[in-house]
Amino acid sequence: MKKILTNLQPAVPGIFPVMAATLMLLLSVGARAQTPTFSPSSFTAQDQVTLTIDVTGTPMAGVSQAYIWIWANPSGVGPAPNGVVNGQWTASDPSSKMTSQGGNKWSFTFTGTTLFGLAPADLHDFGFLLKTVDGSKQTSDFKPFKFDPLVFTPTKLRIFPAKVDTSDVVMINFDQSLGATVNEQRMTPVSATVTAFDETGAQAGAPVTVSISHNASTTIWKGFFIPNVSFKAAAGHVLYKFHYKFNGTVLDSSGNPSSVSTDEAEVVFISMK
Amino acid sequence: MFIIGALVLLAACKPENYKPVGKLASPTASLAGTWKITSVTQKDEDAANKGFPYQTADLTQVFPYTDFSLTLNMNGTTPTTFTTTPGNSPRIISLASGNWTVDDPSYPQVLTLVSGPDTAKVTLGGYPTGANTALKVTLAKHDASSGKLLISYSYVFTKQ
Repeated sequence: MKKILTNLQPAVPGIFPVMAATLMLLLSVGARAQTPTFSPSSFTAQDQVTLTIDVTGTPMAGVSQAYIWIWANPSGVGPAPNGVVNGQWTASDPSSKMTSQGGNKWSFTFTGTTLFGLAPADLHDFGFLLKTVDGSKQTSDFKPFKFDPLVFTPTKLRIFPAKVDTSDVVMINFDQSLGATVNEQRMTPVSATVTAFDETGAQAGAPVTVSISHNASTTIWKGFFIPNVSFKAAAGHVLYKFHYKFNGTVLDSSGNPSSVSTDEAEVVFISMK
Repeated sequence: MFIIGALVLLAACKPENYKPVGKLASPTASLAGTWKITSVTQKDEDAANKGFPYQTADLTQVFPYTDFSLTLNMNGTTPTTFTTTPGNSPRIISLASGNWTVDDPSYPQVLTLVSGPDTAKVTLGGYPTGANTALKVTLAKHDASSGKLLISYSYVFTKQ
């Protein structure tokens, strides 16, 4: 999160953590109702994309002008420069002004490589928030949103196909040779856990345990599921994304099995026809 | 001696009485019947387009696709009704029954299945005529906003 709370000085000692926690909670609750959309829905760092966001329920609701504050690689991979349009926090650059789409909806069009001044290989994802020109009001962060890779890079957790909608057969993969922790490298995988969410961020049904297998000649474990068969969103909502992780066991120093899991990966569904 | 031998061989030659080849079997008529899935392949068209590894996956044994059957009925050479019976298979065609048509009766490329307000289109990958008795069908999925082809599913059916 950029710049948030940096100018707040507590009038009463000890109140700052409470204020911060309350503000963070309010911001996060407000942000839950907002899900940006992208056109096209999948894009590389070299493609022009338009993001649209409804800020209803955030401190930016009702403002007459909105500016984007955008930055690269919030997931921590690669360099993380701000967008060249950002300007100063207290004086947004005019080129960061967003286009009103009526009501509380705002849009912004950009091309990743141009906006961040990075090569496609260095751009993995981005985050953004909306603010007033002087930074007196802002939304919480929206992040991370991934660029489609232009070059295939093996990753520990991967899905096949790389883009799916809710009716596709999804293969989740765990390449143990790319495990980043001792547990991931040592574990004997036994299952995967998939959790689905709707467009508000609310969990859709219970997590599902997926059976996994692997070819003895590889280090890649895989499991399959069909999102709209395994999960149902609540009435009036749609499945928006899912998280998945692989579970297994390692032997502790006493030789007893201990349950461990990989990191969790997130996949946002693509709308297809 | 050589000339005599050649004359004998020449005299032995007779024209073969081949029967006419006849008309090519109607591709549309060949679609009629009940078909069951024998193979399912999923292709990441975007990965294939970029030359990435992991472009296809064989899903035949992943889910009980071989339960799925499709019956195409005809009145003479005119398509009429269809039914789908998924069994335990994922519903590759969401429509249970209705009417079907083809885009070109002579050489169909697209089958349109209609059930009330709902429509499903499948692209034929090959006619089940001659030595090829399999019905090959492809379902393509495109990005809703850009129209870009992202995934395709290829189904091979055999006649029951």
